[in-house]
Amino acid sequence: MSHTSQRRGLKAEHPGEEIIVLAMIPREYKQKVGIESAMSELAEKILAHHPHLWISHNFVELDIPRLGSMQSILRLMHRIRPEATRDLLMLKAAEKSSVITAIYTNPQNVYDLLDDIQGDWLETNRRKGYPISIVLSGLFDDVHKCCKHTGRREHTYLHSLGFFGQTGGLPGESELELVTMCGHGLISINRVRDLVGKIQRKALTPKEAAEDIARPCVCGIVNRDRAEKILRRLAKV
Amino acid sequence: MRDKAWIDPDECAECGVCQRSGICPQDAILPGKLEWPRTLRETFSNPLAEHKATGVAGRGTEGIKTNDFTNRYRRGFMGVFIELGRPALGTRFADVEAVVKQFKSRGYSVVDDNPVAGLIADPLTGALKPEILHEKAISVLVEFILPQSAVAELETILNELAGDVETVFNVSIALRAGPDGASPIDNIFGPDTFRLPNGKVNLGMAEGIAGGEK
Repeated sequence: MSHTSQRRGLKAEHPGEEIIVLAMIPREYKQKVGIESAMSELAEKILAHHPHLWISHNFVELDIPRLGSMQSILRLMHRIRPEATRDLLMLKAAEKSSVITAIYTNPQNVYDLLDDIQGDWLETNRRKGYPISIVLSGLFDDVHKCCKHTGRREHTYLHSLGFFGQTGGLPGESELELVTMCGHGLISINRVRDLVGKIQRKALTPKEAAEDIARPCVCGIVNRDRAEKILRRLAKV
Repeated sequence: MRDKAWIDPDECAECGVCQRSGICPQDAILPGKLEWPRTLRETFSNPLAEHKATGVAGRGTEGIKTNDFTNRYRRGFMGVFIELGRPALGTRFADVEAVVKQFKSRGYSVVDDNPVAGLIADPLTGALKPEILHEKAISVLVEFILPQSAVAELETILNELAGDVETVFNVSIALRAGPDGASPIDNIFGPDTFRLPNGKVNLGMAEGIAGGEK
């Protein structure tokens, strides 16, 4: 899956703007007894190190059969304490899913997270046979710094060679920076243009529009700070 | 009609975003009962729909994400990901077929666990099931594994495909790092080939972890 590898607008002259952390269990180990606890523990650590975003704001409203009766409890709780609900949902999703994601906008938090998981968590995984992979997305320079800081060696790379085919039909580069923030392509160019118009008419602030941009991304990995800057640039405000 | 919207069913990729967004004040956007082959639109476009073939939600395989455990991409080989339709334009499966056929004509098959593999009607040519060719998805990812020595041939394929398809596609290359952790991409493609300064890196935390009951 190419997912985060196609993000546009990240530049070496602006290091540390965002690093996405993904954890995944290989398919044949999804049902291994105990591995769900390791994922849940990892989710706790991810939340403890101050991610910028994790799990979409509208995740609570999604129909996720694997959560069973927990869904209705979470929806009720979401009305009272939305942020705490998203924390809880991350932990529950980690128990039920083979993949979790979060985005960080401060590299130091990623260093701290990696230091944290390289301790007892990784040792327990080795001892119990839990092969949970960790993948970072971002500027390669930023990822190399993470590896250097934590003493890890890069294992496998995914490089983007860019766009081919009918590229004349693509939106402008600034718009592409927004639509490529969702690796599943769920940020519509028409939605982007609608939001830019609303900013220009002062119906929305750039910050509010950036929150809206993040909503369709179910993985919760849109960088709202960078989205706000791009929206300001597009709306010329 | 003012303040009313209409969804063109031929262009709709069944991603579910409009329904999940709650954008309709009358809550009038409801999921349709999908039947084959329209069901393909949802499985490829809605990240919450899981492909039975892969067990992974979304369009592709585990790719590099678990390569530290699976060793799917070994040194000397490269994973080649052709993702049709992203960004922004979407794709018909007729263009997916063009990709599969182009690679197949040179002896390269779609990897077995890629969701597209299950849609191939003729393994000899790479032709897809005819009834799906007009179906539309936000994006469809097709994966191949080639020897790194085939890089010139890959560049030829990409240039030919760029003129053949009616949509846009992005290309990603998966590479096992060298023993020092460095990417071999410059050695394979040369320093002048365009590539983004960002991408994904598997940190190798599952490497060497095995044993126990699966």
